[in-house]
Amino acid sequence: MREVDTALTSYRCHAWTKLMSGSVLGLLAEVAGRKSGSSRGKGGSMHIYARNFYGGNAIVGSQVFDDWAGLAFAHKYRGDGGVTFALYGDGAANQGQVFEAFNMAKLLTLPCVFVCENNKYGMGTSASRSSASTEYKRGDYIPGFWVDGMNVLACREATRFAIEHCTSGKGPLIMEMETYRYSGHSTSDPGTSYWSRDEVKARREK
Amino acid sequence: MASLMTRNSVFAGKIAKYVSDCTKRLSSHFTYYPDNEKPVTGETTKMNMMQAINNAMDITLKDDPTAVLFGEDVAFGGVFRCALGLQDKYGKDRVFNTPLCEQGIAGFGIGLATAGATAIAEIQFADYIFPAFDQLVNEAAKARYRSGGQFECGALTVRAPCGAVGHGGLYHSQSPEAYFAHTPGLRVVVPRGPIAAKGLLLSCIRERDPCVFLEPKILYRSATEEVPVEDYTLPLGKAQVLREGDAATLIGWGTQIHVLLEVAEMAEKDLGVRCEVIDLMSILPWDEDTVCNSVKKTGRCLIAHEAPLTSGFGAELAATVQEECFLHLEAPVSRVAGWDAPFPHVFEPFYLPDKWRCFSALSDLVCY
Repeated sequence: MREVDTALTSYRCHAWTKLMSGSVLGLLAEVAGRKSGSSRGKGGSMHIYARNFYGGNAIVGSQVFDDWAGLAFAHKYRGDGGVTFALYGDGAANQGQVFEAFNMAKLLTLPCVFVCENNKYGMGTSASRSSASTEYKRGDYIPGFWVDGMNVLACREATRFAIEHCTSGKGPLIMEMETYRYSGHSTSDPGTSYWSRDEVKARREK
Repeated sequence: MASLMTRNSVFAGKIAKYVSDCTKRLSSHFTYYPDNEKPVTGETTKMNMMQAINNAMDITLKDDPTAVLFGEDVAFGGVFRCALGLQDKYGKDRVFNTPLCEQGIAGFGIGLATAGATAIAEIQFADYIFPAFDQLVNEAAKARYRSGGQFECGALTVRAPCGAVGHGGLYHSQSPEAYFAHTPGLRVVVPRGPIAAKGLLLSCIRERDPCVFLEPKILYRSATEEVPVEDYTLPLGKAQVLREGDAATLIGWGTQIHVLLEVAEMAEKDLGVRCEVIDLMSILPWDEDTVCNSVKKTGRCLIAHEAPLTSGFGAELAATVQEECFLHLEAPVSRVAGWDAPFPHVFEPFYLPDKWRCFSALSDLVCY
């Protein structure tokens, strides 16, 4: 990603905040709810914002439609060559708003990369049990490709390719980044009721 | 050596005080008042609200072969374990997960109910109910009216955990009852504890109107009562007077009732007045008769709810009370509610209408 690009993601946003703002203090302070935090303590751990980084959204799938529309359009309107990265998970991929977003992006040829972080589980429900199609790169009227989300170099090259694709006026793109969640979804979810120990162990070893 | 010991003990004392302060800050803002009266006689068992709700759904699935339960992650029991064991008992075709799409869950439930099945849809948190809002308001609520009675989805019950929990923040603490109360055609119900939850949920499921059942999530485990094991229902649209008095009428629902019960105790002790406490239980339709009769008796009315003040359900209550009981009122109707701001994370203790704010409003009311 470059300076001019914007991004937004879902609630698991701590790493993104560090990346986009470079301020660990802002991040830690925000999680602790202090005034010196990136959102002045009002957002808490899920709602952290920084320059060109629009959070931090708890309502799953809403961020894909919510901010990206304006952001991606603003890039196109301003002609600054920027690209918007809208990240969401496999759980969110079945929200109606996401499909509405795809349609508008293609219709208006917006410089937007939709990144589906597929960790195979929407909290407690596996992707195969929640999605009729687990091909999250979709690729119907919007081209998409699959990336090994656990491989840093692959991610970097894929992002470069995506930026090039969008800035050359080819319109939106979808990337499915396959990854894995080692522990439960949140503090109230021990992650033992829908996974087996062996499965997690095997993944960790990879 | 001696000074080192003193410094250590002073330090230890500071740590102990800090931990104790933290515990006070982190502990809940209310004291739970269990129901002592049982709606039916017979065998009872100790249950918390989550277990009572589980029991109600178990009874429904057992007695009604068309009943189905669905929602996000309900297969393993759901995030609050209200559906625990139900898939094992009744099978995957009756208790199943849906994809993450609230609009889909509501729409699917409406269709099922219209087709004749008893549909119990679980929305994981009431804060997530808004994608389903159009389905509930425009479809579920209006189906019977617009078809002239030919079709209806009364067999639909949508359950969602609502309310403050201490650490929920913006999207795990909301109380959306007011949005739904504005929709003729729906029923909106909020229980205050296990006995109420079981009876009200069974009523909602059997009621021939689509119901939104909002369960205060903080009460799932903290509220325990001796709940009758048999099948029983509690009437919808009827409020319950929990405490009788003549000085003021305190109205609330859900978790807030327990705050008001404590405030009534404080009022008796510190102000020497006996207050009447009413649990609305049903928000839509609400029991105007019980409330107005009470206010006509006491002359003073205080309404409290967690949802923001402006256009919270308290506004509707206040408007009706002043209209029906005007000549009996000794003071303006008072509302103590959440502030008009998104539900905060760290500022939650300041946001909630806790017992101190309610007591202060009550004192003003009584001394008006």
